Amino acid sequence: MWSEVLRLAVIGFSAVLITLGILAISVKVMSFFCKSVEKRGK
Amino acid sequence: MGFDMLHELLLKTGIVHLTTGHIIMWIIGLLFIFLGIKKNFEPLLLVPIGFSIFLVNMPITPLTGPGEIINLFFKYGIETEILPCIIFLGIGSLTDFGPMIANPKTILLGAGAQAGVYVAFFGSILLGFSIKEAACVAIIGGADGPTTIYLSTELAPHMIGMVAIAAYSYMSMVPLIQPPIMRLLTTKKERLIRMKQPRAVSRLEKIAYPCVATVVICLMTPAAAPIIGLFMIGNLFKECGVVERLLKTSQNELLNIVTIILGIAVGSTMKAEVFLKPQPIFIFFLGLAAFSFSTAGGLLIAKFMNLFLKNKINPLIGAAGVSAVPMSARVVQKMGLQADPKNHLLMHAMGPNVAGVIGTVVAAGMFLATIR
Repeated sequence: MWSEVLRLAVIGFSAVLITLGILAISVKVMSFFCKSVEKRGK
Repeated sequence: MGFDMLHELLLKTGIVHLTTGHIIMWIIGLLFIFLGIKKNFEPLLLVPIGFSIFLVNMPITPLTGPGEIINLFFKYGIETEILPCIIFLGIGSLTDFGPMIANPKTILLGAGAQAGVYVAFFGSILLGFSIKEAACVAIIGGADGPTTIYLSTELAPHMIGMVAIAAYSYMSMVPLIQPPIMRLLTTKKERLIRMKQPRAVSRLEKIAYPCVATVVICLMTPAAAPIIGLFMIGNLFKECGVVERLLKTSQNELLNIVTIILGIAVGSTMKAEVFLKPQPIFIFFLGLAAFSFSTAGGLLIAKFMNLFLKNKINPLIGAAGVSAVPMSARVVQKMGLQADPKNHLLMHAMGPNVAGVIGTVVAAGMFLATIR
């Protein structure tokens, strides 16, 4: 029971950290491309 | 003859069916109404929820039985998960992701602030809840009402009322719960840290963001797609600037209609025979622990990030990672101003605040993916 609970907590919290970490990087990349597109448009 | 008729008449009324439990629930319902009206604690939810608690605890009334009005609200609105998802559409149409896009590292604070969810998960198991029930109690730490309802509908429908009310109660009590924890875990010097004004975010970035976030979150946590999908559609309505009518409807009429039905349906689950047991007391206690640990998690991850950052972040903004938009960001602003009357942290706190919503949705999605 406890090993199952620990497994769920570790998987869950890791998924939150990894997903938001990837989101942070994606936002950074997205901003870079958006700025490039906007510069080219000017 | 006359006595028999009077007896029959009395049996048809609710008076003889009234129990102490009903009266206790009336008091609880009226307390919610009082907190909503007098104290302005989440009135849009506590008033309909409170009145619904009051109403469904009137004995032998045709309200919550199969096919009866409030039962239909619950069956078609909550059991089908439509209402929590539509609420997210409305929230998305009101959310500005600009501060988060301007400073993406604050997204990590929203992740740290989910720590309380997992602390409460362990606590709930210790107190005898099943794994599915423990997940529903734990998600209160995310301070996100619709996500809490969504997860409970899937995993433990019998607990919807209790966990939803605990979540909304703690959200409304953010200004009371968070400041002592913020003071305890930060030094005066840290509270004085000034952050650079966030840069202006272009319209193109704001339009691209809902698509990027949908790709990342749906690929990483497919179970969160119903919530995150509608959240991002709502946000796209806001940012694209060409669907004014859809935006107005999402922000106002749709959100208001859904809030009314959701409030009534959630309150209707709080019947005396369900609520007056030790379980709700445990849920309220665990909810408070979850919320406090989430606040602490956000603050501590901000302090940890400062070990590596050249431009330090004020750790107070980590507390806004618990969602509760925009209440916790306002608390951060107030605490920042107390330390330095010229240090405005509101815009900085909005980044982790909206990231916290996403963090809670991902945590709920992972519970669904691993437990369901």
